[in-house]
Amino acid sequence: MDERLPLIVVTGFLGSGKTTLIRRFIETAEGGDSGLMVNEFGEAGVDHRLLVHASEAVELIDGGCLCCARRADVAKAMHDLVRMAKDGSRAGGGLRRAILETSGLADPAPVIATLARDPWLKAHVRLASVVAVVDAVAGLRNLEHRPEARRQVAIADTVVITKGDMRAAEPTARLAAAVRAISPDARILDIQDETFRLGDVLAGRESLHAPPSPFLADAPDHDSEVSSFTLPIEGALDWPAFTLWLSALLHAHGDRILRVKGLLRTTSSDRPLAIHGVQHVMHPPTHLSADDGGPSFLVFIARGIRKAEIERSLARALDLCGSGANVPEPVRRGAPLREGAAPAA
Amino acid sequence: MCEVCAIFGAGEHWSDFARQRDDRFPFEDILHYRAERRRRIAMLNALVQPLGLVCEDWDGEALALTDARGRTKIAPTLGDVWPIAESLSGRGIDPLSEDFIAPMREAPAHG
Repeated sequence: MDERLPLIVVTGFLGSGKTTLIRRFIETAEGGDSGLMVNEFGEAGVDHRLLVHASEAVELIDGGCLCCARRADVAKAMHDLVRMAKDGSRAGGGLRRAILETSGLADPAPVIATLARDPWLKAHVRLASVVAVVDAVAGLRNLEHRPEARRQVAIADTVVITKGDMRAAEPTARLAAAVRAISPDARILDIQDETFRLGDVLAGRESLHAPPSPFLADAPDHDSEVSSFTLPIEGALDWPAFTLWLSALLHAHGDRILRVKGLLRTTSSDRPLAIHGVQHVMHPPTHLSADDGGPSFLVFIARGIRKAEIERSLARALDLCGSGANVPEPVRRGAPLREGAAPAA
Repeated sequence: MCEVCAIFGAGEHWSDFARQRDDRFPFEDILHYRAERRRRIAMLNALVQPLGLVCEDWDGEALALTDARGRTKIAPTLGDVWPIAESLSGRGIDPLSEDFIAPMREAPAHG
């Protein structure tokens, strides 16, 4: 059993409703044992006062944006929170999860990279979920015009739509379509939906570990910043060769590979493996039952890397490792694959 | 388990999941795990050989990289191999480049 403290990163553009969402959660019985870390750009203290119900466990990160020079503070705040969680005699002891609210202008990627680079944190903190909050009034405009907002959605596994009850709100379907254009596999939840449960989003359950599904179609490459695509994999993938390739790829380009996941039939197991990664952080693969899923596939959400580059790179690596039977033949000859190709769901 | 090093002989890195189940340590599959690990090290040697490096297993869990001058560095996981290979060889590793090994360049900051 994984005993590491689950970390839920909550991101979202300025005014999207991150703090309200978190505050509502910690006021519930389920959310009361949450440790909170807050980084609010230029408004240090405001959220601290709002989060009174867990004030003993709030680590307020002052001094500006998370993506700048304060990552050491994020690491220190997480260190402190883990120590508090483990020390039952102190305030904050017995915490069951940590929630980090990023600043509205922050790219959450450096936070995740901070987690990946700190051996102590890696051993004590488990990235459970990255939640992006998108509001129905300004969200569409932000996604169209603000690269920060697109990056926040691209890296999230869950997107929560807020403010759908306001008069100026855009239809949820339009927002969902805009989110899917950036992140086709994101779990999209509407806070107005009667089935919406805060615990499903913020309790730290394994949303990253749900069996993946391929994108039905690659997102159109209208945004050179972020693109998403599916790579079909034929047959059993040579796991040792694949791990060499992917670990090297994440080493060299992890800052541009926002998310990677897949369902793989491998040479190493009779059962399919589900893999998930966020930038430099790969989660332990999960074995599924032999009947789970259809054909093997990998999905990428990347910034500035095209599908054909990844395909050729994988084919080359498998050939170099003497196991090049897994990707479609045209790729190994160096010809670009038909864009938009995706395996049947 | 090595009683001196307190190493279990099975890595917990995501890439070490050459096993049949999600158990933390693959005791029941240990021979399968080791066979897949040997294969991976052979492949890794083919990749780092142009850099003048040799990779060996280190107690079934870590990896030892040695250059032609005899300098050895331990990579605790596969993810640590690449920055160490770059620092020992002065070359870059880039799977997106044609030959996996990029021309001489400054090593990236991420590991």
